[in-house]
Amino acid sequence: MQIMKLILIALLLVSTSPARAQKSEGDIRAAIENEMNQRHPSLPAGFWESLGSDALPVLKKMYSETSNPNIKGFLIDGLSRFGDSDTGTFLESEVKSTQNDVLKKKLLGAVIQSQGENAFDFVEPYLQDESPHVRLAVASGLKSFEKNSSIQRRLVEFKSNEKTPWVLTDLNKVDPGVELQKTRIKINANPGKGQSESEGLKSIAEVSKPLAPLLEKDWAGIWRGTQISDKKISLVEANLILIDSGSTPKKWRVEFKMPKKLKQEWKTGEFTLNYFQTNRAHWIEIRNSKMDVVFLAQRKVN
Amino acid sequence: MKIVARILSYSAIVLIFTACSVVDKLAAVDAASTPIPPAKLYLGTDVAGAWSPNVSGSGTSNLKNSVTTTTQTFTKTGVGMVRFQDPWGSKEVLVDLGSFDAATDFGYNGANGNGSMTLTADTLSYPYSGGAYPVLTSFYSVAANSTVTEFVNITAGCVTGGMWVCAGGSCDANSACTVTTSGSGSAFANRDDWDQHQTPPYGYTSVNSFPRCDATVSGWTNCGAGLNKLPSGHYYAKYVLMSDRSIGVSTASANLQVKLAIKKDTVARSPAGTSGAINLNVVLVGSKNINDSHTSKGAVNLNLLFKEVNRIFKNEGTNISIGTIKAYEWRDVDGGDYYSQIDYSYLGELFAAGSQGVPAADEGNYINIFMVSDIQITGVSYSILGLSGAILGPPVNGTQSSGLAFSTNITSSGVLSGFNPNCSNVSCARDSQDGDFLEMGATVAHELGHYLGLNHPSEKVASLTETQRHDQLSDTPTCAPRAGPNLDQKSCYMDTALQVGGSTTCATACDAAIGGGNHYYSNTTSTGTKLSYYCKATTECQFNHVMWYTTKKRELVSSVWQEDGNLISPQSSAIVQWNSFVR
Repeated sequence: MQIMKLILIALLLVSTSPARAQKSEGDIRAAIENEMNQRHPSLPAGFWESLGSDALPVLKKMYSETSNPNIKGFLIDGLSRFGDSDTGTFLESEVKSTQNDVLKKKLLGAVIQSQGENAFDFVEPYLQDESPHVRLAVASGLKSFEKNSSIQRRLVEFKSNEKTPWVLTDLNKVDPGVELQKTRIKINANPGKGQSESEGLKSIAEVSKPLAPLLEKDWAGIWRGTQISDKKISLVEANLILIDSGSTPKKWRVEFKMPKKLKQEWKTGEFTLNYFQTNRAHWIEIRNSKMDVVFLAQRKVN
Repeated sequence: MKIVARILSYSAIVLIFTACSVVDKLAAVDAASTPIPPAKLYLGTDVAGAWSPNVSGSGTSNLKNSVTTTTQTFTKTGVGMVRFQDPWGSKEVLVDLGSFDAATDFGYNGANGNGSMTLTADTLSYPYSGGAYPVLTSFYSVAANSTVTEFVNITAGCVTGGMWVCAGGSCDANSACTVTTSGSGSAFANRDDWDQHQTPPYGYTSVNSFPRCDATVSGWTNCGAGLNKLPSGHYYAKYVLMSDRSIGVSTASANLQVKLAIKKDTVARSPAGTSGAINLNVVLVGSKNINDSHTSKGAVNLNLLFKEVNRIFKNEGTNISIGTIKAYEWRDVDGGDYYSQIDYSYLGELFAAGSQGVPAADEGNYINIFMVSDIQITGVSYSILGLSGAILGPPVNGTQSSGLAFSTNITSSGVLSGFNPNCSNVSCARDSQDGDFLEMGATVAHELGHYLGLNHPSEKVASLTETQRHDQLSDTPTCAPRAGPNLDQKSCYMDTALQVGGSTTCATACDAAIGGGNHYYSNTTSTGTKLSYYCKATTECQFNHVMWYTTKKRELVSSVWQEDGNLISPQSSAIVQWNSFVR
């Protein structure tokens, strides 16, 4: 009887669960061609993911059907999203066979994207490719593996030997701040019941938005920065405190330590808290409703 | 229109400097940007073995003998600024352009004449990094009898509420700040039409040209009455300098420079009169393209490429030809190889540097076309086939909008000599040329269309809930996206909204063109049967227009190319013919 119950439950689950949507090759091709044919392509977010794993064989087939490197470049973008070893092998094979340096640099970038650090042994020789664009593409791709000391050592060696100035200039560009999280907080200049001041810091804000767990440790704690207004710029200190990690959504409190005369700069209203991360530092900024930056602070990455 | 990218990009600039204290870095960030140095270019006629343009159908005989152009420069110093979201208040500055006579200066005489004025504005001595857009807020003439003819005509909401409303990291257009139909109306069809010329994709140069519409043409809507010609009178322009800075600029000032190009044309616009020609500077960027152009096959294909561009402009609606083509080389030693595979976000640098490399006499006389190997997008593997520096490029060199670029990475070798194996000389029949090669010619013509002031007839939207945007012309058909927000040939074919002329849909007109039946544009059935049909002259089908936003479909049937059209509508043609580069 118990077994029958289990079987029945299993059957019910199967019948009530929505069937996984299958896309036909024709549907996938049509979706890809629709985006690929634009003179100024701009893929919507999640496009490749929306095609599902069924897209992989279609991408490989379409790639092999054309000699147009511009079309191949588009398809490479999709292929790079797949991390299986077969895709890696496919891309590596194409790297070896192409004579087109534009295509080669895209393929090498895709190998790195697809295989991660495992790509290093394959791509490393191309740091000596005759095309400076190919060398730059490989070095740029490897740069992101910051915690891999052998890769970073090779990059240091590459930089010391590279003869084309613009390759080094491009490689040494500081990545622009990548916005990882943005949340709107309401500033309450007069903290209500339940909020308390600690160590001279005035609690002025509480935000009830979930933040990515990865960021929590980076967000919390003291930020020493600058308060900016039309009239003056002042050094102040902020403390982002995680109040209650168990609650849903999690609650944060922003406290600012500032001289009394600056407190009136903070009026009740809606502010936006933005978080940025580069290779070297983390930043937060707070903007008021007029888009003015009113607080700016950074921390170096260890 | 959202301008998230500009706001966020400035935030990124502010946050890059991490070594010292934030206060110090604000001061450093606020240092004025350094100008882009000129590129060193080599004129092909000075280089042994270089490509010598020999494009069938082009030449000085195509030029109208009725056109002369002159330029004047005006400068206003100590001009106050606003930010995107700030009310303008009293920050508008008036520029006195002087008196002009319709016949003497613009060439209007009865039914004849097709003169125009183009205002290219820049902010100089901007005190911070980034820049300020000179936004044209008014352009008007005062006749001898005090009649005022206003061409821009924006609403008071701009002065009291600013151009944009910004919150939460992005800015939206202030709905109270737009062009108005009150009085004589506006030469701009709507807010989008106006502000795209004030805030270009590269740099901070605004370009506005008048006339830009003609209400006397039947069906030309969204155009103020009496704005189809420049009347005699004393002319003025008003600008507001709009800084992209997020921190206040209330006490800051800069200088405004306006370069005015006056086109006198004593002959009426085609089809009543002749149309004229455009001169081109073709700059071969990087060793790969330069070396290829020195081969006989590479040179043949360059000539064939621009022959195709000439064919599209001459035969598909404007009757405008290519005049003179000059070839330049941008060598590796001068940065050519660096720019040959350029990220699209740096194209402005390429245009500014490259356009400064041509002779001063070419300014306003030759459009700069840069042939590169790849226009990439950081972080992705796909590329852009071509890009114009702006919708309506400036007749001024040295700006980040001063040119257009296209990529040769379409043949497996990445260079032009890889095309057209069946062609050995410039007489090669079009049907013997490669389809991808013909498409490259269409791309160049498309980008030239943008540079001369044309938009895509419709724009792809991000989602079906987003408002569809179309160009300002009433004789380019509109297409609505189908399920999924994408436009495609089928969406135009199936669109049951009334198309050009208000009477016929694309499907009806296309069916009539090819003998009726249930034809529509498609690729293949699941069994591989082709269903593609082409009705290239059908104006009701937007995909037949040169400004359609995707590449064109074509296939070889019995050794003849069957393909979508590259039409230029009459209103599109009028806009192009007013342009000061067309002479």
